[in-house]
Amino acid sequence: MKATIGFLAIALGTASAALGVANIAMGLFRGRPDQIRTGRRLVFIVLAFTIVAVGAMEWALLTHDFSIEYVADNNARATPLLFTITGLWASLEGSILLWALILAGYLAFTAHRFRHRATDPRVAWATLVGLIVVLFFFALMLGPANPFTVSTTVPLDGAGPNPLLQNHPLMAFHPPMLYLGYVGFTIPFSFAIAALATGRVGEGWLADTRRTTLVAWGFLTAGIILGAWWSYEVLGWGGFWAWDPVENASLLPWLTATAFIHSLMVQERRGMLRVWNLSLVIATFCLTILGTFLTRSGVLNSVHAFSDSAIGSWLLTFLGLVAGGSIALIAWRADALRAPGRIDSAVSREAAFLGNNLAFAALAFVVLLGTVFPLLAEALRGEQLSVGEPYFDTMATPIGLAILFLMAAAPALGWRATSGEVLTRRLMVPAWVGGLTMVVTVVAGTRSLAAVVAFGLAGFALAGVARSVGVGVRARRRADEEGWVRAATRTVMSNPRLYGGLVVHVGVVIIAVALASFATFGAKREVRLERGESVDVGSYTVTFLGTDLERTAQKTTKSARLRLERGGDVLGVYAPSISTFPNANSGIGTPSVRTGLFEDVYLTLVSSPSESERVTVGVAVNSMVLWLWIGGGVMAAGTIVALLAVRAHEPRTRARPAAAPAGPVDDTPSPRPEPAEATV
Amino acid sequence: MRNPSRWIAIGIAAVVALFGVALATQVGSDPSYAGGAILQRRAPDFDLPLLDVDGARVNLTSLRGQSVIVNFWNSWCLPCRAEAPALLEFWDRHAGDGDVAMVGIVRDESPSAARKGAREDGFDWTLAIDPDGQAAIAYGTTGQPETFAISPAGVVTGKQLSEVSVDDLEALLARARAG
Amino acid sequence: MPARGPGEAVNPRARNGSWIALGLVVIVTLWVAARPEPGTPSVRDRVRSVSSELRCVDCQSQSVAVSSTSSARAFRADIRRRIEAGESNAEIRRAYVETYGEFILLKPAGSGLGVFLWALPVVVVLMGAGGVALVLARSRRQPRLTATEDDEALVADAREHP
Repeated sequence: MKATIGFLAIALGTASAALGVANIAMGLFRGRPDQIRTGRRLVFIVLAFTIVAVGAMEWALLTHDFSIEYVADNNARATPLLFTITGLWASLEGSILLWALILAGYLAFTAHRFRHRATDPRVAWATLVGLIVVLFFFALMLGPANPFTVSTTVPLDGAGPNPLLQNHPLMAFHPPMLYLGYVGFTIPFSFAIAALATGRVGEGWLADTRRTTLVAWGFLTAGIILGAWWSYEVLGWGGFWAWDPVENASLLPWLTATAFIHSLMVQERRGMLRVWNLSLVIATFCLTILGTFLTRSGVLNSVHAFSDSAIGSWLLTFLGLVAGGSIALIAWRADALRAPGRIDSAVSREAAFLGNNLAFAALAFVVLLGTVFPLLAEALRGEQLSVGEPYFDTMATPIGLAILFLMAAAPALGWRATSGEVLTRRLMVPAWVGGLTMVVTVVAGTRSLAAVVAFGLAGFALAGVARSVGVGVRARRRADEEGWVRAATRTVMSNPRLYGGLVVHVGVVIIAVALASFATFGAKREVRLERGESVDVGSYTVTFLGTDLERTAQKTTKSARLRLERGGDVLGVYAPSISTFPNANSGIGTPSVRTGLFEDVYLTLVSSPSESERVTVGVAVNSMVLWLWIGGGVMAAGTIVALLAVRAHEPRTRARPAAAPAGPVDDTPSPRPEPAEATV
Repeated sequence: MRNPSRWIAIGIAAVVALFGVALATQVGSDPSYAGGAILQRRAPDFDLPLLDVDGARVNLTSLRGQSVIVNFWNSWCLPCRAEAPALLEFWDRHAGDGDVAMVGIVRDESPSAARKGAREDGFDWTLAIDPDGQAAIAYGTTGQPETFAISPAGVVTGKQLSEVSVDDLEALLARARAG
Repeated sequence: MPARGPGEAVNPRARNGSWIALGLVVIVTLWVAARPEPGTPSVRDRVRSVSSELRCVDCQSQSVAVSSTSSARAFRADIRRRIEAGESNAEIRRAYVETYGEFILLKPAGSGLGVFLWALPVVVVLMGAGGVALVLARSRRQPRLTATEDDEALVADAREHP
């Protein structure tokens, strides 16, 4: 029964989406606003049906209805409640359903937000494109990725989720967060296509979607950081980023989206880089689809690749149509996209943003090339090649350092041009802070060139942020004679985009410092210990106390009790383990981590204890890992601050003598008709 | 150039199309690895303890003069279980021939679990454990089951990196006997 | 640093001197950092460095250095044995390539197809940098807009009579 409800909901959702597409299309081509409105209303109907389908699946999971194949494959009677609920996205079909739900949610929210401009052609086109995308995902669910297929023989018990997905509650948050990011980029994409389709390719579509882009970017950042955290805390191989194809698939749209967030500021202020920005948004959306293709089609081997069904060809075809269509649209509107503005000086913020985009595009290219290279080598020459961490590290490090440098210098640059005096005044002290940081790290013994440069640039960047915030706060304090806290809050709120961005930069710098420390400092040993025997690693002593065996309905766990000491103080008893699940064969290791402010002690059980009571344990002392997560949190906080910019209170024109707006900037929402764009 | 954007767009479209074609040829293909060039080379020697007899060992040099089938396996991998009947039938046919030897080497499993699996399936040919994993490395194995055929002169004449059928085994043996 | 008013210019000589001094500090520091550490790398370091370039055969894309599978441990033991027998890093890598094929290396060689992997990013970056430089150069040829006296008078007038 649940399968019927679920499948019916999907079928009706497909029909509603198709109807919506038809209505809006007809309304646009025949100039009938009523039809557009009807089509728009169908967006909410689609959302309703998606919610019903998701509800049916969760109901089936919670009641362990194994007549549905998806439930039998991803759930078992012994599966704990949390992992039963998260079973919705445990494998392919459910993930597509989750994607459809989030997409329908975003579309409904956008339709609601633009309700006063529902008949504006650009908004209508955007809704149309959004509905086409959601129609595609529904078609996937009707075709190769049906979550509600029923099996004729009902197994007594299901297979349960992949053991790797049952180990940690973080699995509950990582995929939905990631999807909230991926799917969110559909909205700016649909507005970009709408801008091209209507020919109104000025800055309006940017203003319409700026917030959504930032929200999607924030979620994607959080999703990636959570994934790294999960990799570190749960998977037990001792690292947090392996340049795994699926990790790369999530990084690629993040890179292009970050480039876009910066270059859109150039377009907002100077009207330049129109083609580039449209291409970035379209590329970001394509990369989210490509990422899905890479992980779901079985083309590459990875922890997540658990299916090689026909979905691969569907995704690839869709991707081809999107890419081809977008390029055709851009070529068609090429004349309208010519930029009115020019870059005046190489020492300007526009130039710095161009450099930023070059660096991010280069990094995206490197990651994409490295990920698909084995594929291409096999397709073109039949050669088997691997591209792993050494390649990516070698390529990404110089680009990352260049980005760090730009991040430190760019906020000090003015728009259009910056004189030498201003540059000196703003950057001299921070640059010296950076230089002295480098000296200190070398004196302290660091010999890795990349790490020294990274620390120096980090000092440079942090000092620069501190200076610009400090100057602003101090000026406000003096002007209004108020306390620090109040002055600080009002400074930030006077320009949330700028200060939110600076906070995000601080988060990035923290992560860069943590990465450099992790790569340079720390120690790692793998030793066989008898009961009572100890080993010294770094400043810590690890003693093997004994083993424990625990059996539950879900799994059998062998763990080793290890006592951790430093300088004579006992820090605690930690128990890394290996679990075996009844329906899988090899053991899954779980590390035990003592998280310290500057150092982690990472304990793993490498081999199952044998009868002779000797264990092989891995002891690693990792530097600054906690700061990776702190940096991620700071980035999230900065994103929230940047989102606080309330458009209605922003002054229409800024009181700056040098600013020359190139092309009118649309402001929304207002019910009056759009002003004609001067450059079309 | 009249309108560079148009040409750039066409160029990008062409690159993307090429890329898509390359990816499309890979959809559904099984990215298993072909392995190195061990064929027609001297078979790496091994000297390993037996699985079920304490203290006894088996080494490849002592099997010189016989055609040897070496099968890397364990009891938990699904294709290994699937090929077990084929291995049993093959050995049934050829155990009596004086010139055929078969050695099963445990890969990536503890001896006790492998012992249990072998007993359950009734494997009755020479079974060895590979405690340091050195034999697995020497033969360039990337998983299991992997089966190698060695001629009486000690040269690897054939290999199969997936589960074997009786016909596959017969073919491997024929090629090894031919030398 | 005390805030300077808009009218006060920094002494250009002092400003340049300060930047040059900073440049020297940075260069010297980098030079010190880049000097190789004294002594030869230990066996354990060499095992770590060689194994980080080899792919673990039972994993998805991890290196032998970080993987905890039994085959990875066997690899590390074999590498250690070879290092103690006197083989160089390159010889060890070659031995594994002979047994396993090119795919065992996580960093493809620079010959054959691998050329594209290493060269293409550099080409792309150069092309991109060239594009950026082109954009900058093209805009340099445009005359810089400076306010004429008439413009200044207009602005002054507007300021006095808003």
